[in-house]
Amino acid sequence: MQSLTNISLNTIVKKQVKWKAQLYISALSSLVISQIIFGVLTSSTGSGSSGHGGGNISVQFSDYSLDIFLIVSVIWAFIVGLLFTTKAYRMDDLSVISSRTSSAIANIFVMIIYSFMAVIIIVSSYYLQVLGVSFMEKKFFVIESLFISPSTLIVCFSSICLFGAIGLLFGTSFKGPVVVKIFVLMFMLLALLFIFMSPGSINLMPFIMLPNLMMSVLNLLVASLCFSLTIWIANKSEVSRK
Amino acid sequence: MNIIQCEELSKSFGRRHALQRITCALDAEKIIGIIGRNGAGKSTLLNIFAGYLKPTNGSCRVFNENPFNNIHTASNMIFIDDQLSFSHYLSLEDILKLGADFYPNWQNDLAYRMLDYAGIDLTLKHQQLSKGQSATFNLVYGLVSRCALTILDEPMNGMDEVIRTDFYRAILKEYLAFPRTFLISSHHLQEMETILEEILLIDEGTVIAHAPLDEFKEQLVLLNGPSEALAELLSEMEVYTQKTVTGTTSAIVNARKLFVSEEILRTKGITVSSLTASEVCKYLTSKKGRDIDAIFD
Repeated sequence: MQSLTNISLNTIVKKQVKWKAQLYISALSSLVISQIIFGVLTSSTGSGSSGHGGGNISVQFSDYSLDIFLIVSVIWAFIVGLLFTTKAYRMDDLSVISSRTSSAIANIFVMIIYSFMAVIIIVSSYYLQVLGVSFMEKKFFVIESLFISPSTLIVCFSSICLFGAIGLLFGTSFKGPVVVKIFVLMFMLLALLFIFMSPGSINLMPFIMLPNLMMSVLNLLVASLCFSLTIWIANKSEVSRK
Repeated sequence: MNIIQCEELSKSFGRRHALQRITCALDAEKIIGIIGRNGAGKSTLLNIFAGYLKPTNGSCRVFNENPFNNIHTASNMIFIDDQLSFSHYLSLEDILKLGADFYPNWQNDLAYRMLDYAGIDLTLKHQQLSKGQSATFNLVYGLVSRCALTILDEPMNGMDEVIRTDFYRAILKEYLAFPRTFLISSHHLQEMETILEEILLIDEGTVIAHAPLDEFKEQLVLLNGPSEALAELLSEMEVYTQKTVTGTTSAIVNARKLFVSEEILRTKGITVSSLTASEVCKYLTSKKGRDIDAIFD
Protein backbone atom coordinates (compact mmCIF):
# COMPACT_ATOMS: atom_id res chain seq x y z
CA MET A 1 0.00 0.00 0.00
CA GLN A 2 1.23 3.49 -0.75
CA SER A 3 2.78 5.17 2.27
CA LEU A 4 0.39 7.38 4.19
CA THR A 5 1.16 11.02 4.78
CA ASN A 6 1.49 12.23 8.33
CA ILE A 7 0.56 15.88 8.60
CA SER A 8 0.22 17.32 12.07
CA LEU A 9 -2.81 19.28 13.26
CA ASN A 10 -0.42 22.19 13.77
CA THR A 11 0.59 22.29 10.10
CA ILE A 12 -3.01 22.05 8.89
CA VAL A 13 -4.14 24.84 11.22
CA LYS A 14 -1.29 27.08 10.00
CA LYS A 15 -2.26 26.48 6.36
CA GLN A 16 -5.94 27.07 7.10
CA VAL A 17 -5.21 30.30 8.97
CA LYS A 18 -3.04 31.52 6.08
CA TRP A 19 -5.81 30.93 3.52
CA LYS A 20 -8.75 31.96 5.69
CA ALA A 21 -7.10 35.23 6.75
CA GLN A 22 -6.75 36.14 3.05
CA LEU A 23 -10.13 34.87 1.92
CA TYR A 24 -12.25 36.38 4.69
CA ILE A 25 -10.64 39.82 4.23
CA SER A 26 -13.97 41.25 3.03
CA ALA A 27 -15.07 41.07 6.67
CA LEU A 28 -12.52 43.77 7.46
CA SER A 29 -13.62 45.95 4.56
CA SER A 30 -17.18 45.79 5.92
CA LEU A 31 -15.80 47.04 9.24
CA VAL A 32 -14.01 49.93 7.53
CA ILE A 33 -17.22 50.91 5.72
CA SER A 34 -19.33 50.74 8.87
CA GLN A 35 -16.73 52.78 10.79
CA ILE A 36 -16.80 55.47 8.08
CA ILE A 37 -20.61 55.58 8.16
CA PHE A 38 -20.72 55.88 11.95
CA GLY A 39 -17.79 58.32 11.89
CA VAL A 40 -19.72 60.63 9.55
CA LEU A 41 -23.01 60.18 11.43
CA THR A 42 -21.44 61.12 14.74
CA SER A 43 -19.13 63.84 13.37
CA SER A 44 -21.27 66.66 14.76
CA THR A 45 -21.99 65.20 18.18
CA GLY A 46 -19.11 62.82 18.87
CA SER A 47 -19.82 59.91 21.17
CA GLY A 48 -21.59 62.23 23.61
CA SER A 49 -22.53 65.89 23.82
CA SER A 50 -23.87 68.35 26.31
CA GLY A 51 -24.86 71.99 26.16
CA HIS A 52 -24.81 74.88 28.62
CA GLY A 53 -26.28 78.30 28.19
CA GLY A 54 -26.50 81.54 30.13
CA GLY A 55 -27.48 84.98 28.85
CA ASN A 56 -26.19 85.39 25.31
CA ILE A 57 -23.66 82.63 25.66
CA SER A 58 -24.35 79.10 24.68
CA VAL A 59 -21.63 76.44 25.01
CA GLN A 60 -21.87 73.10 23.29
CA PHE A 61 -19.50 70.33 24.33
CA SER A 62 -18.95 67.35 22.03
CA ASP A 63 -16.89 64.48 23.32
CA TYR A 64 -14.97 62.57 20.68
CA SER A 65 -13.76 59.17 21.85
CA LEU A 66 -13.30 55.59 20.69
CA ASP A 67 -16.59 54.47 22.29
CA ILE A 68 -18.84 54.57 19.25
CA PHE A 69 -16.20 52.90 17.07
CA LEU A 70 -15.69 50.20 19.67
CA ILE A 71 -19.43 49.52 19.92
CA VAL A 72 -19.64 49.16 16.12
CA SER A 73 -16.60 46.87 16.19
CA VAL A 74 -17.92 44.51 18.85
CA ILE A 75 -21.21 44.12 16.97
CA TRP A 76 -19.18 43.52 13.81
CA ALA A 77 -17.02 40.93 15.61
CA PHE A 78 -20.10 39.05 16.84
CA ILE A 79 -21.60 38.93 13.32
CA VAL A 80 -18.28 37.89 11.76
CA GLY A 81 -17.91 35.15 14.38
CA LEU A 82 -21.38 33.91 13.43
CA LEU A 83 -20.60 34.12 9.71
CA PHE A 84 -17.43 32.02 10.09
CA THR A 85 -19.60 29.14 11.28
CA THR A 86 -22.21 29.29 8.50
CA LYS A 87 -22.67 26.41 6.09
CA ALA A 88 -20.90 28.08 3.14
CA TYR A 89 -17.70 28.55 5.14
CA ARG A 90 -17.88 25.05 6.62
CA MET A 91 -18.37 23.52 3.16
CA ASP A 92 -15.29 25.37 1.88
CA ASP A 93 -13.27 23.82 4.71
CA LEU A 94 -14.22 20.33 3.50
CA SER A 95 -12.55 20.95 0.14
CA VAL A 96 -9.09 20.79 1.65
CA ILE A 97 -7.42 18.70 4.35
CA SER A 98 -9.23 19.67 7.54
CA SER A 99 -11.14 18.41 10.51
CA ARG A 100 -13.81 20.24 12.48
CA THR A 101 -11.21 20.78 15.21
CA SER A 102 -8.61 22.24 12.82
CA SER A 103 -11.23 24.50 11.22
CA ALA A 104 -12.47 25.74 14.62
CA ILE A 105 -8.92 26.50 15.80
CA ALA A 106 -8.13 28.25 12.49
CA ASN A 107 -11.31 30.35 12.80
CA ILE A 108 -10.28 31.35 16.31
CA PHE A 109 -6.84 32.47 15.13
CA VAL A 110 -8.35 34.41 12.24
CA MET A 111 -10.77 36.04 14.72
CA ILE A 112 -7.84 37.04 16.94
CA ILE A 113 -5.88 38.45 13.96
CA TYR A 114 -8.94 40.33 12.76
CA SER A 115 -9.60 41.71 16.27
CA PHE A 116 -6.08 43.09 16.25
CA MET A 117 -6.64 44.66 12.83
CA ALA A 118 -10.02 45.98 13.96
CA VAL A 119 -8.26 47.89 16.76
CA ILE A 120 -6.00 49.52 14.16
CA ILE A 121 -9.08 50.37 12.08
CA ILE A 122 -11.00 51.91 14.98
CA VAL A 123 -8.02 54.00 16.10
CA SER A 124 -7.53 55.19 12.51
CA SER A 125 -11.26 55.97 12.23
CA TYR A 126 -11.10 57.94 15.47
CA TYR A 127 -8.16 60.07 14.36
CA LEU A 128 -9.73 60.57 10.93
CA GLN A 129 -12.97 61.70 12.55
CA VAL A 130 -11.20 64.17 14.82
CA LEU A 131 -9.09 65.48 11.92
CA GLY A 132 -12.14 65.73 9.67
CA VAL A 133 -14.18 67.59 12.28
CA SER A 134 -11.32 69.97 13.08
CA PHE A 135 -10.89 70.86 9.40
CA MET A 136 -14.53 70.97 8.39
CA GLU A 137 -16.21 72.58 11.35
CA LYS A 138 -13.33 74.62 12.78
CA LYS A 139 -14.33 73.74 16.32
CA PHE A 140 -12.20 74.38 19.35
CA PHE A 141 -10.56 71.22 20.60
CA VAL A 142 -9.45 70.32 24.06
CA ILE A 143 -7.12 67.38 23.57
CA GLU A 144 -6.71 65.39 26.76
CA SER A 145 -4.10 63.18 25.25
CA LEU A 146 -2.92 62.92 21.67
CA PHE A 147 -2.03 59.28 22.00
CA ILE A 148 -4.45 56.59 23.02
CA SER A 149 -3.00 54.68 25.95
CA PRO A 150 -1.95 51.06 25.36
CA SER A 151 -4.30 49.94 28.14
CA THR A 152 -7.25 51.42 26.21
CA LEU A 153 -6.09 49.60 23.09
CA ILE A 154 -5.88 46.33 25.03
CA VAL A 155 -9.44 46.85 26.32
CA CYS A 156 -10.58 47.42 22.73
CA PHE A 157 -8.77 44.33 21.51
CA SER A 158 -10.05 42.11 24.32
CA SER A 159 -13.63 43.38 23.90
CA ILE A 160 -13.65 42.72 20.14
CA CYS A 161 -12.08 39.31 20.74
CA LEU A 162 -14.71 38.51 23.37
CA PHE A 163 -17.63 39.32 21.10
CA GLY A 164 -16.01 37.46 18.22
CA ALA A 165 -15.58 34.47 20.51
CA ILE A 166 -19.24 34.66 21.57
CA GLY A 167 -20.25 34.78 17.89
CA LEU A 168 -18.12 31.74 17.08
CA LEU A 169 -19.46 29.83 20.08
CA PHE A 170 -23.05 30.74 19.31
CA GLY A 171 -22.72 29.73 15.66
CA THR A 172 -20.88 26.50 16.41
CA SER A 173 -23.44 25.53 19.07
CA PHE A 174 -26.23 25.46 16.53
CA LYS A 175 -24.22 23.14 14.28
CA GLY A 176 -23.23 20.89 17.15
CA PRO A 177 -24.85 17.82 18.71
CA VAL A 178 -28.57 18.00 19.56
CA VAL A 179 -27.82 18.09 23.31
CA VAL A 180 -25.76 21.27 22.85
CA LYS A 181 -28.49 22.89 20.73
CA ILE A 182 -31.11 22.13 23.40
CA PHE A 183 -28.81 23.43 26.14
CA VAL A 184 -28.16 26.71 24.28
CA LEU A 185 -31.87 27.20 23.56
CA MET A 186 -32.74 26.58 27.22
CA PHE A 187 -29.99 28.96 28.31
CA MET A 188 -31.26 31.69 25.97
CA LEU A 189 -34.83 31.17 27.11
CA LEU A 190 -33.88 31.38 30.79
CA ALA A 191 -31.70 34.45 30.16
CA LEU A 192 -34.57 36.22 28.34
CA LEU A 193 -37.01 35.29 31.12
CA PHE A 194 -34.59 36.60 33.73
CA ILE A 195 -34.11 39.89 31.83
CA PHE A 196 -37.88 40.45 31.47
CA MET A 197 -38.74 39.36 35.03
CA SER A 198 -36.18 41.53 36.78
CA PRO A 199 -34.58 44.04 34.42
CA GLY A 200 -33.15 46.06 37.31
CA SER A 201 -31.01 43.21 38.58
CA ILE A 202 -28.66 43.44 35.57
CA ASN A 203 -26.14 46.12 36.31
CA LEU A 204 -23.10 46.34 34.10
CA MET A 205 -21.74 49.49 35.73
CA PRO A 206 -19.33 47.71 38.12
CA PHE A 207 -17.88 45.91 35.11
CA ILE A 208 -17.60 49.07 33.00
CA MET A 209 -15.99 50.95 35.86
CA LEU A 210 -13.28 48.34 36.29
CA PRO A 211 -9.70 49.48 35.61
CA ASN A 212 -8.64 48.86 32.00
CA LEU A 213 -6.26 46.06 32.84
CA MET A 214 -8.79 44.19 34.99
CA MET A 215 -11.45 44.54 32.30
CA SER A 216 -9.04 43.27 29.64
CA VAL A 217 -8.07 40.24 31.70
CA LEU A 218 -11.72 39.46 32.39
CA ASN A 219 -12.61 39.84 28.70
CA LEU A 220 -9.76 37.60 27.61
CA LEU A 221 -10.64 34.97 30.22
CA VAL A 222 -14.25 34.78 29.05
CA ALA A 223 -13.09 34.81 25.40
CA SER A 224 -10.73 31.89 26.12
CA LEU A 225 -13.59 29.99 27.72
CA CYS A 226 -15.76 30.62 24.63
CA PHE A 227 -12.92 29.56 22.32
CA SER A 228 -12.38 26.34 24.30
CA LEU A 229 -16.09 25.54 24.23
CA THR A 230 -16.14 26.24 20.47
CA ILE A 231 -13.34 23.70 19.89
CA TRP A 232 -15.02 21.17 22.18
CA ILE A 233 -18.37 21.42 20.37
CA ALA A 234 -16.72 21.44 16.90
CA ASN A 235 -14.86 18.27 17.88
CA LYS A 236 -18.20 16.54 18.45
CA SER A 237 -20.02 17.99 15.43
CA GLU A 238 -21.03 16.07 12.38
CA VAL A 239 -20.93 17.69 9.00
CA SER A 240 -22.45 16.75 5.69
CA ARG A 241 -22.39 18.43 2.32
CA LYS A 242 -25.95 17.28 1.60
CA MET B 1 -4.55 -5.28 3.48
CA ASN B 2 -7.83 -3.69 4.52
CA ILE B 3 -8.07 0.05 4.26
CA ILE B 4 -11.63 0.21 5.63
CA GLN B 5 -13.32 -2.07 8.14
CA CYS B 6 -16.89 -1.78 9.33
CA GLU B 7 -18.46 -3.87 12.07
CA GLU B 8 -22.22 -3.80 12.62
CA LEU B 9 -22.24 -0.18 11.47
CA SER B 10 -25.59 1.62 11.77
CA LYS B 11 -26.58 5.21 11.20
CA SER B 12 -29.93 6.78 11.97
CA PHE B 13 -31.23 10.29 11.36
CA GLY B 14 -34.04 10.62 13.85
CA ARG B 15 -36.40 7.73 13.11
CA ARG B 16 -34.94 7.04 9.67
CA HIS B 17 -32.43 4.21 9.56
CA ALA B 18 -30.02 5.14 6.77
CA LEU B 19 -27.60 2.26 7.43
CA GLN B 20 -28.32 -0.95 9.28
CA ARG B 21 -25.68 -3.31 10.71
CA ILE B 22 -23.18 -3.01 7.87
CA THR B 23 -20.17 -5.29 8.13
CA CYS B 24 -17.59 -5.10 5.38
CA ALA B 25 -13.88 -4.86 4.74
CA LEU B 26 -12.46 -3.01 1.74
CA ASP B 27 -9.00 -3.76 0.40
CA ALA B 28 -6.36 -1.16 -0.33
CA GLU B 29 -5.39 -0.22 -3.89
CA LYS B 30 -8.56 -1.29 -5.60
CA ILE B 31 -11.21 0.52 -7.60
CA ILE B 32 -14.43 -0.33 -5.81
CA GLY B 33 -17.90 0.59 -6.97
CA ILE B 34 -20.38 1.56 -4.25
CA ILE B 35 -23.63 0.81 -5.97
CA GLY B 36 -27.23 1.19 -4.91
CA ARG B 37 -30.47 2.87 -5.79
CA ASN B 38 -31.41 6.40 -4.76
CA GLY B 39 -31.66 6.64 -0.98
CA ALA B 40 -29.99 3.26 -0.45
CA GLY B 41 -27.45 4.76 1.96
CA LYS B 42 -24.38 5.07 -0.31
CA SER B 43 -23.64 8.71 0.46
CA THR B 44 -24.19 8.20 4.19
CA LEU B 45 -21.70 5.33 4.17
CA LEU B 46 -19.17 7.40 2.21
CA ASN B 47 -19.67 10.33 4.60
CA ILE B 48 -18.87 8.01 7.51
CA PHE B 49 -15.73 6.75 5.73
CA ALA B 50 -14.71 10.37 5.18
CA GLY B 51 -15.14 11.11 8.90
CA TYR B 52 -17.93 13.62 8.40
CA LEU B 53 -20.62 11.58 10.14
CA LYS B 54 -20.47 9.51 13.31
CA PRO B 55 -22.02 6.02 13.32
CA THR B 56 -25.01 5.62 15.63
CA ASN B 57 -23.90 2.09 16.46
CA GLY B 58 -21.06 -0.23 15.51
CA SER B 59 -17.61 0.76 14.41
CA CYS B 60 -15.83 2.01 11.32
CA ARG B 61 -12.07 2.09 10.94
CA VAL B 62 -10.22 3.77 8.08
CA PHE B 63 -6.42 3.33 7.95
CA ASN B 64 -6.96 1.43 11.20
CA GLU B 65 -8.28 4.53 13.01
CA ASN B 66 -11.68 5.96 13.81
CA PRO B 67 -12.16 8.39 10.90
CA PHE B 68 -14.58 10.75 12.66
CA ASN B 69 -13.01 14.21 12.81
CA ASN B 70 -9.59 12.59 12.47
CA ILE B 71 -6.85 14.71 10.90
CA HIS B 72 -4.79 11.64 9.93
CA THR B 73 -7.71 10.21 7.94
CA ALA B 74 -8.44 13.65 6.47
CA SER B 75 -4.86 14.10 5.27
CA ASN B 76 -4.95 10.79 3.40
CA MET B 77 -8.44 11.06 1.99
CA ILE B 78 -10.30 13.23 -0.47
CA PHE B 79 -14.06 13.26 -0.88
CA ILE B 80 -15.37 14.52 -4.20
CA ASP B 81 -19.04 15.10 -4.89
CA ASP B 82 -21.18 17.68 -6.65
CA GLN B 83 -21.37 19.76 -3.49
CA LEU B 84 -17.62 20.48 -3.44
CA SER B 85 -17.34 24.22 -2.94
CA PHE B 86 -14.64 26.85 -2.84
CA SER B 87 -14.55 30.46 -1.78
CA HIS B 88 -15.99 32.74 -4.45
CA TYR B 89 -12.85 34.89 -4.17
CA LEU B 90 -10.79 32.12 -5.76
CA SER B 91 -10.32 31.58 -9.48
CA LEU B 92 -9.78 28.00 -10.63
CA GLU B 93 -6.07 28.74 -10.86
CA ASP B 94 -6.08 29.90 -7.22
CA ILE B 95 -7.94 26.73 -6.25
CA LEU B 96 -5.15 24.67 -7.81
CA LYS B 97 -2.65 26.66 -5.71
CA LEU B 98 -4.80 25.98 -2.64
CA GLY B 99 -4.82 22.24 -3.39
CA ALA B 100 -1.07 22.23 -3.99
CA ASP B 101 -0.54 23.88 -0.62
CA PHE B 102 -2.57 21.29 1.28
CA TYR B 103 -2.05 17.97 -0.51
CA PRO B 104 1.52 16.62 -0.39
CA ASN B 105 1.18 14.43 -3.51
CA TRP B 106 -0.50 17.14 -5.60
CA GLN B 107 0.18 17.00 -9.38
CA ASN B 108 -0.13 20.56 -10.64
CA ASP B 109 1.08 19.95 -14.22
CA LEU B 110 -1.34 17.08 -14.63
CA ALA B 111 -4.19 19.30 -13.37
CA TYR B 112 -3.35 21.97 -15.94
CA ARG B 113 -3.16 19.39 -18.75
CA MET B 114 -6.45 17.73 -17.82
CA LEU B 115 -8.32 21.02 -17.46
CA ASP B 116 -6.88 22.25 -20.74
CA TYR B 117 -8.08 19.01 -22.37
CA ALA B 118 -11.56 19.56 -20.91
CA GLY B 119 -11.51 23.15 -22.21
CA ILE B 120 -12.00 24.76 -18.81
CA ASP B 121 -10.83 28.35 -18.49
CA LEU B 122 -8.74 28.70 -15.34
CA THR B 123 -9.54 32.36 -14.90
CA LEU B 124 -13.16 31.49 -14.10
CA LYS B 125 -14.53 31.06 -10.59
CA HIS B 126 -15.84 27.66 -9.49
CA GLN B 127 -19.35 29.12 -9.19
CA GLN B 128 -19.26 30.26 -12.83
CA LEU B 129 -18.79 26.74 -14.20
CA SER B 130 -21.63 24.80 -15.78
CA LYS B 131 -22.78 21.62 -14.01
CA GLY B 132 -20.70 19.39 -16.27
CA GLN B 133 -17.63 21.62 -16.09
CA SER B 134 -17.93 21.80 -12.32
CA ALA B 135 -18.09 17.98 -12.13
CA THR B 136 -15.05 17.73 -14.41
CA PHE B 137 -13.08 20.23 -12.35
CA ASN B 138 -14.02 18.46 -9.10
CA LEU B 139 -12.92 15.13 -10.52
CA VAL B 140 -9.59 16.57 -11.70
CA TYR B 141 -9.14 18.10 -8.22
CA GLY B 142 -9.73 14.67 -6.68
CA LEU B 143 -7.43 12.84 -9.08
CA VAL B 144 -4.43 15.17 -8.89
CA SER B 145 -4.49 15.25 -5.08
CA ARG B 146 -3.41 11.58 -5.20
CA CYS B 147 -4.75 10.68 -1.76
CA ALA B 148 -4.48 7.09 -0.53
CA LEU B 149 -8.27 6.99 -0.30
CA THR B 150 -10.12 8.81 -3.08
CA ILE B 151 -13.88 8.86 -2.60
CA LEU B 152 -15.88 9.89 -5.65
CA ASP B 153 -19.60 10.28 -4.95
CA GLU B 154 -21.46 10.43 -8.28
CA PRO B 155 -18.43 12.11 -9.90
CA MET B 156 -19.80 12.10 -13.45
CA ASN B 157 -23.15 13.81 -12.70
CA GLY B 158 -23.81 16.42 -15.35
CA MET B 159 -20.92 15.46 -17.65
CA ASP B 160 -21.66 14.66 -21.29
CA GLU B 161 -21.02 11.14 -22.56
CA VAL B 162 -17.76 11.95 -24.33
CA ILE B 163 -16.14 13.54 -21.31
CA ARG B 164 -17.49 10.75 -19.07
CA THR B 165 -15.81 8.10 -21.21
CA ASP B 166 -12.56 10.11 -21.21
CA PHE B 167 -12.55 10.57 -17.48
CA TYR B 168 -13.26 6.90 -16.68
CA ARG B 169 -10.07 6.32 -18.65
CA ALA B 170 -8.35 9.11 -16.73
CA ILE B 171 -9.30 7.44 -13.43
CA LEU B 172 -7.83 4.16 -14.66
CA LYS B 173 -4.63 5.82 -15.91
CA GLU B 174 -4.20 7.68 -12.62
CA TYR B 175 -4.80 4.46 -10.69
CA LEU B 176 -2.12 2.68 -12.72
CA ALA B 177 0.32 5.57 -12.33
CA PHE B 178 -0.27 5.90 -8.61
CA PRO B 179 -2.14 2.90 -7.15
CA ARG B 180 -4.57 3.88 -4.42
CA THR B 181 -8.06 3.02 -3.25
CA PHE B 182 -10.90 4.50 -5.24
CA LEU B 183 -14.44 4.28 -3.91
CA ILE B 184 -16.79 5.35 -6.68
CA SER B 185 -20.50 5.64 -6.22
CA SER B 186 -22.40 6.06 -9.46
CA HIS B 187 -25.62 5.36 -11.27
CA HIS B 188 -23.67 4.78 -14.50
CA LEU B 189 -22.57 1.26 -13.59
CA GLN B 190 -22.69 0.06 -17.19
CA GLU B 191 -20.12 2.67 -18.23
CA MET B 192 -18.01 2.05 -15.14
CA GLU B 193 -17.85 -1.74 -15.32
CA THR B 194 -14.61 -1.72 -17.29
CA ILE B 195 -12.64 -0.02 -14.54
CA LEU B 196 -14.16 -1.63 -11.44
CA GLU B 197 -12.48 -4.48 -9.61
CA GLU B 198 -15.05 -4.95 -6.88
CA ILE B 199 -18.65 -4.04 -6.19
CA LEU B 200 -20.29 -3.24 -2.88
CA LEU B 201 -24.03 -3.27 -3.44
CA ILE B 202 -26.17 -1.48 -0.88
CA ASP B 203 -29.93 -1.65 -0.65
CA GLU B 204 -32.14 -0.12 2.05
CA GLY B 205 -29.15 0.55 4.26
CA THR B 206 -27.66 -2.93 4.18
CA VAL B 207 -24.93 -4.55 2.12
CA ILE B 208 -26.56 -7.15 -0.09
CA ALA B 209 -23.50 -8.09 -2.12
CA HIS B 210 -19.78 -7.51 -1.92
CA ALA B 211 -17.67 -9.37 -4.47
CA PRO B 212 -15.13 -9.03 -7.27
CA LEU B 213 -16.81 -7.87 -10.48
CA ASP B 214 -16.74 -11.26 -12.29
CA GLU B 215 -18.04 -13.13 -9.27
CA PHE B 216 -20.72 -10.48 -8.83
CA LYS B 217 -21.93 -10.85 -12.42
CA GLU B 218 -22.19 -14.62 -12.03
CA GLN B 219 -24.74 -14.32 -9.22
CA LEU B 220 -27.71 -14.21 -11.58
CA VAL B 221 -28.32 -15.83 -14.97
CA LEU B 222 -30.96 -15.50 -17.65
CA LEU B 223 -32.80 -18.70 -18.58
CA ASN B 224 -34.60 -18.77 -21.89
CA GLY B 225 -36.66 -21.69 -23.25
CA PRO B 226 -40.05 -23.32 -23.81
CA SER B 227 -42.51 -22.44 -21.07
CA GLU B 228 -43.40 -26.09 -20.26
CA ALA B 229 -39.74 -27.06 -19.91
CA LEU B 230 -38.98 -24.10 -17.63
CA ALA B 231 -42.13 -24.23 -15.48
CA GLU B 232 -40.98 -27.13 -13.29
CA LEU B 233 -37.47 -25.75 -12.90
CA LEU B 234 -38.65 -22.27 -11.95
CA SER B 235 -41.11 -23.58 -9.36
CA GLU B 236 -38.14 -24.68 -7.22
CA MET B 237 -36.06 -21.53 -7.66
CA GLU B 238 -35.93 -17.93 -6.60
CA VAL B 239 -37.08 -16.05 -9.69
CA TYR B 240 -36.21 -12.34 -9.92
CA THR B 241 -38.24 -11.63 -13.02
CA GLN B 242 -40.12 -13.70 -15.56
CA LYS B 243 -41.71 -12.99 -18.93
CA THR B 244 -43.62 -15.33 -21.24
CA VAL B 245 -44.22 -14.51 -24.90
CA THR B 246 -45.85 -17.04 -27.27
CA GLY B 247 -44.82 -20.16 -25.38
CA THR B 248 -41.26 -18.99 -24.67
CA THR B 249 -40.29 -17.96 -21.14
CA SER B 250 -37.35 -15.78 -20.06
CA ALA B 251 -36.46 -15.73 -16.38
CA ILE B 252 -33.68 -14.26 -14.24
CA VAL B 253 -32.69 -16.67 -11.47
CA ASN B 254 -30.06 -17.07 -8.78
CA ALA B 255 -27.17 -18.93 -10.42
CA ARG B 256 -26.04 -20.45 -7.12
CA LYS B 257 -29.33 -22.27 -6.78
CA LEU B 258 -29.29 -23.64 -10.29
CA PHE B 259 -28.22 -27.21 -9.67
CA VAL B 260 -28.96 -28.53 -13.17
CA SER B 261 -26.01 -28.54 -15.57
CA GLU B 262 -26.05 -26.40 -18.70
CA GLU B 263 -25.87 -29.51 -20.91
CA ILE B 264 -29.04 -31.03 -19.45
CA LEU B 265 -30.80 -27.67 -19.81
CA ARG B 266 -29.68 -27.45 -23.43
CA THR B 267 -31.23 -30.83 -24.18
CA LYS B 268 -34.55 -29.36 -22.96
CA GLY B 269 -34.12 -26.37 -25.25
CA ILE B 270 -33.20 -24.00 -22.39
CA THR B 271 -30.31 -21.58 -22.87
CA VAL B 272 -28.34 -19.95 -20.05
CA SER B 273 -26.99 -16.43 -20.59
CA SER B 274 -24.94 -14.22 -18.34
CA LEU B 275 -25.95 -10.69 -17.32
CA THR B 276 -24.02 -7.45 -17.06
CA ALA B 277 -23.15 -6.13 -13.59
CA SER B 278 -25.64 -3.33 -14.16
CA GLU B 279 -28.45 -5.84 -14.83
CA VAL B 280 -27.50 -7.91 -11.78
CA CYS B 281 -27.67 -4.77 -9.64
CA LYS B 282 -31.03 -3.87 -11.11
CA TYR B 283 -32.60 -7.24 -10.35
CA LEU B 284 -31.02 -7.63 -6.91
CA THR B 285 -32.35 -4.28 -5.77
CA SER B 286 -35.72 -4.14 -7.52
CA LYS B 287 -38.72 -4.59 -5.29
CA LYS B 288 -40.70 -7.70 -6.03
CA GLY B 289 -44.21 -7.18 -7.29
CA ARG B 290 -43.54 -3.53 -8.15
CA ASP B 291 -44.27 -2.57 -11.70
CA ILE B 292 -44.45 0.97 -13.11
CA ASP B 293 -47.07 -0.21 -15.63
CA ALA B 294 -49.41 -1.12 -12.78
CA ILE B 295 -49.66 2.58 -11.84
CA PHE B 296 -51.17 3.44 -15.22
CA ASP B 297 -53.50 0.44 -15.44
